Amino acid sequence: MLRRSRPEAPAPASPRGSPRVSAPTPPDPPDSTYQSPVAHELATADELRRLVLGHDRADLLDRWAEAGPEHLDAAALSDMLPDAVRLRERRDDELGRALEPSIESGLRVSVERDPQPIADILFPVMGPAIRRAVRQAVASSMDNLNRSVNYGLSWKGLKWRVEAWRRGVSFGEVVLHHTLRYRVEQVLLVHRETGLPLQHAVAPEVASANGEDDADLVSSMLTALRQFVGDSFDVDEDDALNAFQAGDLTVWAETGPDALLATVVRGTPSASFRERMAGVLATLHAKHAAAFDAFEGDATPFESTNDTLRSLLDAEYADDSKAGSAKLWILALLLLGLLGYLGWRMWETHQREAAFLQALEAEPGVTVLRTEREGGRLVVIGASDPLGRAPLSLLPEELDSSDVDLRFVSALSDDPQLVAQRATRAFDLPDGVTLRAEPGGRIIAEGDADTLWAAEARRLLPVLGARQLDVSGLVPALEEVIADVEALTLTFEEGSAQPVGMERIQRHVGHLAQLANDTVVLIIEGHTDDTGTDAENQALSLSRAVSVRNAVLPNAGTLTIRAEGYADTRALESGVSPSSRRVTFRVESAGNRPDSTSAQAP
Amino acid sequence: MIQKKICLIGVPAVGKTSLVRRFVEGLFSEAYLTTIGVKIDRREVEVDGTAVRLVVWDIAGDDAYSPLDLTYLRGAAGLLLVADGTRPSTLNRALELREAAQEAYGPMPAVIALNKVDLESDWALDADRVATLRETATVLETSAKTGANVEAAFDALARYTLKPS
Repeated sequence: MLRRSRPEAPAPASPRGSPRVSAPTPPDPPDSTYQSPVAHELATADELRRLVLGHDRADLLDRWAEAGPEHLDAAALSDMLPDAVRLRERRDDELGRALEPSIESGLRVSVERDPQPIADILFPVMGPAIRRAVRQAVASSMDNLNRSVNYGLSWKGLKWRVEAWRRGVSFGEVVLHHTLRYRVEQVLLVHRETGLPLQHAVAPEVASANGEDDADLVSSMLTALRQFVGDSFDVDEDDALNAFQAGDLTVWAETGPDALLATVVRGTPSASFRERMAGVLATLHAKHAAAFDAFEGDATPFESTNDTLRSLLDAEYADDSKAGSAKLWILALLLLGLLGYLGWRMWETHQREAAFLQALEAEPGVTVLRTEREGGRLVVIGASDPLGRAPLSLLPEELDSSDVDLRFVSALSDDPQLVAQRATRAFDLPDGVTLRAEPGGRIIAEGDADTLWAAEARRLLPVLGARQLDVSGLVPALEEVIADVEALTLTFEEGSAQPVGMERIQRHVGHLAQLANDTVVLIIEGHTDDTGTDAENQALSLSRAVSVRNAVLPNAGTLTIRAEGYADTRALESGVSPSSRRVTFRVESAGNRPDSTSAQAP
Repeated sequence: MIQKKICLIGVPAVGKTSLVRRFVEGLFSEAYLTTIGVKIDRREVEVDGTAVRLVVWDIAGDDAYSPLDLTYLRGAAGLLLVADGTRPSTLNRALELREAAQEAYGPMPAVIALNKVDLESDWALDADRVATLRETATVLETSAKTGANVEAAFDALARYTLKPS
């Protein structure tokens, strides 16, 4: 049923109270024909006074006034005043009008005297509103600034500028077009029954082309459309056309018992926005139930809902999706780079490990038994000779002990180099002797030295990991060889010049020749005992020296050898003396005498 | 400003749309009439110094093939019944429609516009009948062509919507 058709619809504005009362000046109760119940009561009292006091009541009132206000019944008036105010308020707004100048001047006086109390009173009202307004203004300008900075100078910004120029729209619009996720451009509160707009809020950024002026047509058309759709598809009107799309715009409608809340959104709002709409609509229904009920075409009572509607006018800007994808690309590239780097590092580590293992294998005294991995670490198990370099010291700089775990036991190596080293330490080697080892446990001594130490050394061989000591390579010192040669004596049978047992002499001479070459002269001296004639002895002694010389010549190399006969001049004793029948050896440095091999007489 | 929804109803070709075309401010094309069966326009009038915005629902003609969609009448504050003065049957139908509307939504003020008053020679309405009608309703002879009484019709309806008769 239509309320407006009710016969008891509000009566046309009846004439207000008496013309006197309608004047904006405060009424003068004692002198008026006041019509309100209170006034009526006062008028009745007045009448009563007139009856009691006669027509001279003006005089009487004057006298009351002179006598002081306590004679007016202040107590009774204070009892009646609140009721009187309420009664009058209910009837018309005259009381407000009457009090307005007084309140105004009272406020002015108060502010002039001390503005603080009024400021304190207003603060809770104004403060939040001002704060909100400032916050919105700052947020909005920050948003704009951010967007301008974001897009103003970039390559994309340049592209959009060209687009704006091409399409003949402002740069801001192009930026908005590309970055807006959604923006609620209009919010309409529509009276359901009549389709008339109750309140309309438009986003400030939206051009007023289809702004507030057309709210009535839009809301009516929306209502008609919903009715049309509801009828056409036989659905409940509450469910009909709760959302539809028109180009970039999405229109969402939420239906309540008395009103419809419609939003025009550019872009795609989030689902939570609809929940907010429903919440707002419910709040509006709760708060304005009576106003909805009494709606007769006057939307004024709904002006207070504007703030609530405006709270729905929000916008959400997309984070630059293209920049996002670029970021994604960069991230992917970084990831790829990281993977590549890690792979390269792994490969490099493997290379280093392989090189390290190779170096270990090649290192004398180090034996790698096996390798394994424990939690990414390379574990090398093996044995190493304490004499050799420690495996850890072979670790390249690029690998540290956290990368590689070396588990080595000490062992004696049969590596020739180390065997030689070990032997060198163990033997009390004379100066000039060096040792080298060969595979198979053979130690070879070399150098200028006698071989006295060799007997002792041989006893140590088993503990050194060697089996044989070869001292053949040792070369004695020249003086020793000379001494050895000069100490030699070879004895002969009586009257014989035939040398026997020449091997030793030949060897010594060989040594001498080897060491001295042509720097010395070997003199072989022949001797006899003092039996026989001098001539015989001379010949025999020389013959003995020459035969020895001939015997050693094959060993003499470049050595100069002279044979000399001394007859019995150096006989060791008189008479028959086997020990005197001999040859002796003397070494002289070359150049002392002319080279000669001929026998010489002393 | 006070806003009121009013509906224009009548059989096709009585000149409803022509009636409003010159006197309203609109946003939508007349194609809406044939698509969804209603076109909404606006007209502002003043009644005794009070501005009233009439939101005019021009509802597509009612005929045998597409009977009037009464849904659109819901919430209307008044009806402008349009009949063709040269075709008496259109007046009958307009009155029937009024009855149907009131049956559906309760009594609502109505102004009857007898249109095409410019076609004097073809006028076919019985003067007595019109006079009788005037006793119970506001009846105005209008002409969309000359504009005669069109504003008066809207004014009268606006007045009724404020102060139901």
